[in-house]
Formats: sequence, structure tokens, C-alpha cells
Amino acid sequence: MVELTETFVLECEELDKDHKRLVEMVNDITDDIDKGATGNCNSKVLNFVNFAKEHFSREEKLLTKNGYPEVAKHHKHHQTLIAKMEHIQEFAASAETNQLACVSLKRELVYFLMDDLITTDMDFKDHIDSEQE
Amino acid sequence: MNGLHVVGLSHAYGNKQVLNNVALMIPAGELVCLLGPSGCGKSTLLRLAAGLEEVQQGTIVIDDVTVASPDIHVVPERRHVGLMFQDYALFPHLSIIDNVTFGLTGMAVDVVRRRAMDLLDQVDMTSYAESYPHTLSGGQQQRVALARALAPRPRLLLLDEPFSGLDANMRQTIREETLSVLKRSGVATLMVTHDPEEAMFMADRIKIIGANGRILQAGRPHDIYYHPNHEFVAKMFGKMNKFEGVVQDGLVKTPLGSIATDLLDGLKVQVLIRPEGVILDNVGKTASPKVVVTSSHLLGHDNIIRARIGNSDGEDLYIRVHHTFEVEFKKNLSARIDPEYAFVYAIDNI
Repeated sequence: MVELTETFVLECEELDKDHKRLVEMVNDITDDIDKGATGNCNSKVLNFVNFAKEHFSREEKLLTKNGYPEVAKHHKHHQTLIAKMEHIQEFAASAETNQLACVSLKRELVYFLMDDLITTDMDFKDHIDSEQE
Repeated sequence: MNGLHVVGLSHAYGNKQVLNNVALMIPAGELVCLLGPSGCGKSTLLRLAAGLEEVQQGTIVIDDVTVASPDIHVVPERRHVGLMFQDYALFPHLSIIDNVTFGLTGMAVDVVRRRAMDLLDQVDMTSYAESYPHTLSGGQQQRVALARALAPRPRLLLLDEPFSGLDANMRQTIREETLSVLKRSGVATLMVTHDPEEAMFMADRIKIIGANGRILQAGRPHDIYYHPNHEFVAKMFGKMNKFEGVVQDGLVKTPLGSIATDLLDGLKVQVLIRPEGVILDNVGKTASPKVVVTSSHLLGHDNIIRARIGNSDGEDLYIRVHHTFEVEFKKNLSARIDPEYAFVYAIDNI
């Protein structure tokens, strides 16, 4: 179960709301996996992937608007995450029939969410803070 | 979430920046390897997580408790962190059982002994409980060090090049056993190593740190090996064949054929090809260029071959083939690229 502690709050309502939603989606999928209810994994992961892409787009627009100097770098990072999500979707496609795919799906989702996505977004926390002051 | 979370960690010794905005996460039960060259800041990160140094910039969270930031420094003994180093660091004057029970405080004597014996059983060392460290081999001492590190049920285990003091055969055995014990224990583990093969074997996830103390890539071992996003990452796993070229119509021409890339046309690039990514065929089978083998070395399962493209002035190739490939009987050879092992990088980005 992933929980967003204070360390991972950006103090930007729009993005924090997105992160919270992404956490809920991942928790829902990993909860299903733990219960052995893997039938809906594929569609739930697809929803997660689509929402993550929307989040990337919202985030880049916001960072551009706020004059964040490393938008291009962050865009590139998002492109690598979109490529990683293809692997996650492959695991999801096999989750219903393959236990190993389930384990990998759960692991990759948690890493993707917390390590690649939310933790990396902390890079611009200081910038957002200074813009808001 | 239980485990380790590091956010925005930077650290410098004087003017030398050793960690540069490092972020990582290890959920409980997972093992993450930090892989990088000597001096890249790997061990510094471990020391910061253990509380042996104070954080200058960034945050370290263990099991949802912030243990380190520029304003917070929880002392090492209150972080519930286990440490294991390459030199084992067993107390020479204590028996094996006393080494394992050393950090177990606040429990009844029989509970402490039961816990220690349980750990020694997990590492197959119960029969040495009353022995002293100097009577044990390096591998046995490392097993005891693992038992000692796990005995207090740490929330986080930190391993600093734990197998580098062992010979090749023992290293393989001990790392397999260690991995098995760690997976059973469910502890979050951060291991630093400079050995790519060891990282591939042990890790659920690998983080590559560059010489500038910055994480260059993070991912599954498969991602790191087959989809390195940086020249430095690709080269971590050994010698590569290298060609330079310019992107034209989504392709880069090399002496061994063209490679597809999504980089922009007109960009100057280099193509790196792993030794196993050069495929040797009989001449005539393909339109690939002819190569002349200049040396061949058997490494057991594989042969390492050096070959030259075309005439004697051609470029040298470094090729890994199966040991059954009897190169001395194959005079008329051509070479082509297996695109799965070939990576294209813009030269400006290097």
C-alpha cells in the first residue's frame, strides 16, 4: 500500500491532486493483485497509463507557464516514462494468467509511481515554492 | 510506505560534489543496487542513510519516518539500519554466537539466543556458533556478518561491496545464499557495487550513478542492459564496438550495415554495439562486409574474437560468440549487427 507522506507534497494543488489520484489507482491495482482478482488488471492499468500521460501534459504546461528552467529535461524524462509504461502494460496483459507477470506488474507499478514519477517531481518543488512566495 | 525513500540528496566534501540530487526508493522486501565507478558517491549515500554522516541537502525517510535532512539527524542506533561491509567486521574476540547477539538488547537472554541461532540456521552456520571468526573462511565470515546484520530485524539493510573480498566461486555461492536469506527476511536492502554482473544478479532494480554523483538511469536489470539511455550506462557492462556516423532518413550507416534510430536527421551520432551484437556469418550468405579474424580466446562458455573489417586497414571488432564457433576453420566470414545490442547516442549529448 502506497501512501503519500508529507515529504512528497509539492504544495501545488493541481499536481498534488494528480499524484494522489495516481497513488489511488496504483493501490487499487496492487490490492486486486494481492486478492488474486487480476481479471481487471489490464483495463485498470490502461486507465492508469492514460491518466499518467494526461498528468505529464498538465505538468509540462504548468512548468512552462511558471518558467521552470528545466522543462525540456523533464519532458525528456516523461518520454522515457511513457516507454516504461509499455513494459508495464505488457505485464498487465499477462497478469490474469501468469503469476510472475503479476509480481512484476506490482513491483514495476510501485517503482514507476514513487521512484520515477513522484520522487523525480520533487526536483521542481523548490521552484514551485519560490513562485508561490 | 515501508522501506527507504531518498529525495533530492546532494553532498559535497569541500569543493568536490559527490552526490548530486539523488533520489531513490526501496520498498520493504526489495533490493536496489547502486552501480557506479569508484569515487562516484555510492558509499557516501550508504553512510548518509546509516547516519554515519549528516545530510547537507535532501531528505532520507525510513518506514515513513524522516531520519535525515539538513535539520534532522536521527542517530545511527535509532534508525534500525543493518550494515554489512566487504571486510565482514566481526569482533575477533567474540564467538560467532556472541557476534550475532551483540546488537540484540532489551530482550531476555533465551530469546536473544534463540533469535541468533535462528539467523545462524538461515545462513547454515549453527555448527560454528561457539567458534571464533579467525577459524572461519571468508565466505563463512560473510554469512555470519549477514546473520548479525539481520538479527535486530532492521528496517533497512545496507550492503557495501559485500562480496568483493571473496574469490570468484565463493562469491557466486555466497551471493545466491545472501539473496535467498534477504528475500525471506522481507527487509529493504540497498547494496552498492562496482560489479555490473553482481548488480544484475542481485537487484530488483539498478541505479547507475555517474562520476558526477548523478543518477543516470534507473530500472530493471533488463532495462539497463538492453535499453541503456546513456553511453556511460552502456559501457558499464564492458567493452563495446564503436562507430560514428550521421543520421539520414532515420538510419545511421556503419561499416557493418545501417541501424535505425529515432534521432533527428543530420545529427552526428555514435553507434555502440555489444560484443555479442556482432553476428558472424559465412561470406555469401549475406551482403555484409568480409572480416578477418586476428585472434580468438576461449573464456569457457564463450569465445572472444578480435576481427578486422575488410582489408588490413579496416576497423577492429570485438566479438563474443558461443564456444562451439570454431573460428580457425572459418576463413570466409562476414559480420552484421544484431540491433538488439546496438545503441545510438547523439555525440553532442555525450
